Parts: sequence; structure tokens; C-alpha cells
Amino acid sequence: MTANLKNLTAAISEIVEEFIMMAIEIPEPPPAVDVETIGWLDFSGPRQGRITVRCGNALASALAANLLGVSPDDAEAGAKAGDALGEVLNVLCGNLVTRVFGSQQTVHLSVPTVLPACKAQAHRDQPGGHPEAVLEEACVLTFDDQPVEFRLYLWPENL
Amino acid sequence: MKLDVLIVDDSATIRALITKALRLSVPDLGDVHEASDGIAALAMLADHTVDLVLMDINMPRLNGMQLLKRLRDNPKLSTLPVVVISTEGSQERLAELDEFGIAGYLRKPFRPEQLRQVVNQIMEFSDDGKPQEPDGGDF
Repeated sequence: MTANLKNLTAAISEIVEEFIMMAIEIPEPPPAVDVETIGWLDFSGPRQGRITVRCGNALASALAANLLGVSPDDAEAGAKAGDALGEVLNVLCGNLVTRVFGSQQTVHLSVPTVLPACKAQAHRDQPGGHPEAVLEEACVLTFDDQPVEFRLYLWPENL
Repeated sequence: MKLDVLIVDDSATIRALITKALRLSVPDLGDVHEASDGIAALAMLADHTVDLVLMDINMPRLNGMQLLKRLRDNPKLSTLPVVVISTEGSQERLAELDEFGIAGYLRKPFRPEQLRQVVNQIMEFSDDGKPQEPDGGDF
């Protein structure tokens, strides 16, 4: 496991267990992800890049339900599913960049974007957020047995 | 005295979480106002008086650092206690926040008891010397 993948999975584990309180696993082989919702957030600091998340609508609703302390069937969970996924991405990225770059470095985070997969044309055209983005790491995990995929893209160093 | 609070965060989920944590933590909670960014916060503060602002940094339109500067430049709002609740972890950014004279900082994810401690310190609420009971949730 590379250092970046180790940091990525460690940050995800910490956020999911402490923030969302769901059981997290890294199954082998990785299960297929039902990509219905896509989210991304860009960071800039010592390096620039993007973190993306792809999952099913049911998981996004479950994240909102757990954060809000309501049933996954609650209308509020459905209404805030995208917002909750974006906030998870925000907290995850804040945690990850501190792990990778250290607290001495200032890293700016963009506001997260979360869209239904069918509407995420910009993501399909340029999933890494930059024409020369390199897919550094990717991992598929399960939160309460529901698959979710995270990717870390890095942009060229001389930007 | 009731404590009136303004929560500024672009995430409706986080605003709901913080409101819930405040209701668990602050017995004399008054009105809880919400704003989704700095511009909305300034509009809210033009119409309402609050005792405490809880704000995020990373927001669209007018972010938390820009909002803090606007508050400190406004004689009517310059001493308003502000607690920053953010994912920010860099020493440089925390030093900048210190220069703005923030009353407290909580890094996301936070626990309700951490929010209670910060609010109690700021508003000088008494815990009657009793140990604080953890209420189990993580935020």
C-alpha cells in the first residue's frame, strides 16, 4: 500500500467511524459501485488536486440520516443526502491534507460539488478536474455494507 | 438570559447538527438563526442581535475569513464572540484566526461536549462544578 493510499484510507476510516458512525470495510475484491451520485472537492497547497466520491443514492441518504440522527427513510435524510455527502467530503479532505502535507502547510479547499451522476457532465469530461490530472489513488470501501469509491487526483506540480 | 446564536455554514446538514448539539448542551438557548454564507450572515446580523456566532471558513460568496474581517471592521459587531468550526488544520490559518480575536475554535468532526465546553467558557455559564456527562454522539 502506498503512503497516499494509506493516508486516504486512514482519513476515510477516521471520518466514517467518528463523524458518521458507520461500519467501514475494505472488501477484496472490491464490489461494484452503483454510481448514482458524484461529488468532488479541489485542494491547493504544496500540491493541487481533487478528491472525488462516487456512490449510490441510498448511501448518500444513509450518511445524512446518521449525521442527523433520523431514519434513512426520513424525508429530511433524502433532502439532505447530497449536502451530507459534500460535507463528508469536506471533512475528509481537511483531514487528508493535514495528514499528507502536515499542519505547517496551508491548503485551500474548494466548496464541495455534489451532483446526480446523470448531470455530472463536467466530471465525465474531466474527472480529475484538470486535463493533466493523474489518478494517484483509488479505493472502494463499504460503509454499512454499501459500496463507495474515492479517488485522489494530483495535478502537475508546476501549476 | 437566553443565548441567541447565529450558525454560518454552507452545509444545511452541519447547521442542523450544530443546532441539535446546542439544544443538548445549552440550557438557556434562545433563538438559533442560520446563514449559508458570509453574505447571508451579514444580512441576518443587520436584522437580528445575537450573542454568539458559530461559523465555518470554507463557504461560497463570502468565506469565513472575509466575514470575520467584516465583523471586526464593523464597530457594532467588532466584539461579537465568534467560534470557528472548520476542517482547517494549518498553523498559519489558526494564527490568522487568532489575530482576528476569535473566541474559540473547533475542528470538524467535533463532539457535542466540545461545543458545550467552548460555549460555556465564552458565555461564562456555570456547570455547578459537576463533571460533564458525555452524551454519546460524535459530530
